Amino acid sequence: MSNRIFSLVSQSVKRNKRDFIFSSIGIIVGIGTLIFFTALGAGVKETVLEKIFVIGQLEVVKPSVGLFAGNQLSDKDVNRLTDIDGVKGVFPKMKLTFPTSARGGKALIGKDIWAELIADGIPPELVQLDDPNVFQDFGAIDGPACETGKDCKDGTYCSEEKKCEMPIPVVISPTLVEIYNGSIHTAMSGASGALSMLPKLEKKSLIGLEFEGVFGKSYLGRSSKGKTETKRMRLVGFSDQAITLGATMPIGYVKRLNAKFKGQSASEEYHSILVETESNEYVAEVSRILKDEMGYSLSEKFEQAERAGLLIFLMTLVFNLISLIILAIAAVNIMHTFLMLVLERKRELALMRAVGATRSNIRMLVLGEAVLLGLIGGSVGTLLGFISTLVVDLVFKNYVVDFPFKPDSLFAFEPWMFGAAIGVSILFCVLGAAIPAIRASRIDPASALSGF
Amino acid sequence: MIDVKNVSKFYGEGEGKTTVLDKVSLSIDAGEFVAIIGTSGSGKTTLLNTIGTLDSRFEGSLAIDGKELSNLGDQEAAKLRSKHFGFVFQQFNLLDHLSAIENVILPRFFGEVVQSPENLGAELLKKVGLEKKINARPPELSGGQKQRIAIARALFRKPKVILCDEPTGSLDRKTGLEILDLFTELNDKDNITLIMVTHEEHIAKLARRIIRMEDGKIVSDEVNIPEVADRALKLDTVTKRGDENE
Repeated sequence: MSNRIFSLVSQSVKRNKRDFIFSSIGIIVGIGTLIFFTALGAGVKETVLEKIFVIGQLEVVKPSVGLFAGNQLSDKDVNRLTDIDGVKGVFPKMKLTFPTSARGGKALIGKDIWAELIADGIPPELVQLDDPNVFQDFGAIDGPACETGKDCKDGTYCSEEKKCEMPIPVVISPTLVEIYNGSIHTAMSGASGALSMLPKLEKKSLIGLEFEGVFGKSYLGRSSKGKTETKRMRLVGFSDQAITLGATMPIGYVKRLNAKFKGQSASEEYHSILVETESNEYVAEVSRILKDEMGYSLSEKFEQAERAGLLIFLMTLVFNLISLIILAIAAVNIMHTFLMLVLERKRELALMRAVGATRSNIRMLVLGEAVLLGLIGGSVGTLLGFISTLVVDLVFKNYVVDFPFKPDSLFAFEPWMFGAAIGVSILFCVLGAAIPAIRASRIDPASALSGF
Repeated sequence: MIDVKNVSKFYGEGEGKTTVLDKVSLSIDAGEFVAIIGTSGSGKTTLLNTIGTLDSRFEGSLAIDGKELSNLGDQEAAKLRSKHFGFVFQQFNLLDHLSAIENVILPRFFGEVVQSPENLGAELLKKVGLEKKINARPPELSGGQKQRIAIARALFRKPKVILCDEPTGSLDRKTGLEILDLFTELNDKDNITLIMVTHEEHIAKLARRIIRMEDGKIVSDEVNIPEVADRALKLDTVTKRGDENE
């Protein structure tokens, strides 16, 4: 029966093409808007919660209050955190705890400049680069002795200790480049001297850039312990895990440098520990265990992430509500059209009853038309919504100036969104056609066919 | 075959209540050709619709082949309608957007599945003399041709009974008689029971039984011997009588 009803439905839709096209406009607009805002909400959420505030990662810091206040974070804490259910990985972070500066830039502006160097160290596995081998703790391997750079091969250089060493690999945050291009470069264009020559930076062209790190000495002071040491450093990539203002290197370098310039205890104390959950679903529970049961504090960034997530959720909800209102109006429009069509086809529907159709067949016929309308309208709406996101992305990419965390796309699509959009479309069409379908099934065939 | 006992039907309520059928009783056997005649408002169409289960709100008893229909549910009524009855209306009730054959095979969408409905449709159109108009749409056809398509549609489910409501009412006299000739042929050759409602005396006289109705009641129920069997003679006679009536 369903196949036969479907044939009848398609026959009817073809016949009333014009009416159906007009009815579907509201559905197309509503579904297009729904898919647009849903994808926009997901896209913004993805940028904010996966790039700006990584919600799946909690950053544990030294407890500031309570029983554990003042306690240092150490390998013991790393082990404790690893044992929590729902925790996928634990990554300790350590900062350089002595004065450090950097010298370089000749390749870029023709003259070396000095700057204070803020740096930290993280486990190399936390950084994902195209070539995973470039961000490694090469310093743990003793290189061959050398007299000059000519004695060293495979990208190594002859260090102050007269050993062939790989430059310390560092990654920087992409935000740093965006801040530089957006603010420093603009501000310095009016300066005199070398600073006025600062070029606008492109990430790709910076990869491989080398500079010297001067450990134990900076403008602000000198380390009380150890002899100043100069080491070559090489920028190997960009990572969201890097410190926002500074450079990030494999944690092994930081541990050795801290031990040398600050003492053994400084090489055993972490400044924070990144706890990665198995999925976002575990975040709330792991966060509770960390704070309430284990007495740790979480970085303020996590609190901000929670607030940002809520804000995005509310905004997406508001926009989706607007879409649903459009769809509700479309459903009312569909109801009017279907009521009109049922009235126009009263005799036809009565004839169907006369030749064997049940009331239920008539209801199914009208609702089937609504389902087909929803399917076609929903598909077209989804397609138009998707195309509009591409257009907006194109405009966003080409005409909106770069800013920190500017995403490649404002939208994020999941396969379920397309299915849900078409499902919602069908639902609203069926809701709109429900009353007309009931009315159609109640047509009195005797009076309709007699023309009364 | 069809037993109607004390069937009454009313429209409206209270003071505005109108009796359309007033305790009507009759019995129709298989293979009969019955004409129900009466003036407008006599209740003849209502009786026809009640027999055909198009109108299920009535008092009394209605049975087909011994099966009581007065309390039939929608599903059962539709099934029975599809199996037993074919309908032919004054206004043809063809769907203009469908071709002749598509109109004929319209009942295929409901009830039992028919194998090769297109072949059956073509066969029926041939039976009613429209084999060359298979793909024509109703607006392209004459009134007589439209009614022939309606008859072919009524025959699609091989019904036992054809219920005709003023089948010649929208046709000129000659075409009307051609249609009646087709009905007579169906009745004679295929033993299909014909129940025809008309307000025209000369049309009713072509049936083998004439039931007269007035104010919702049967006032007479008589056996009629069609005066002529030959179509040409019938045409002349009816034309003459029609002229006299005018």
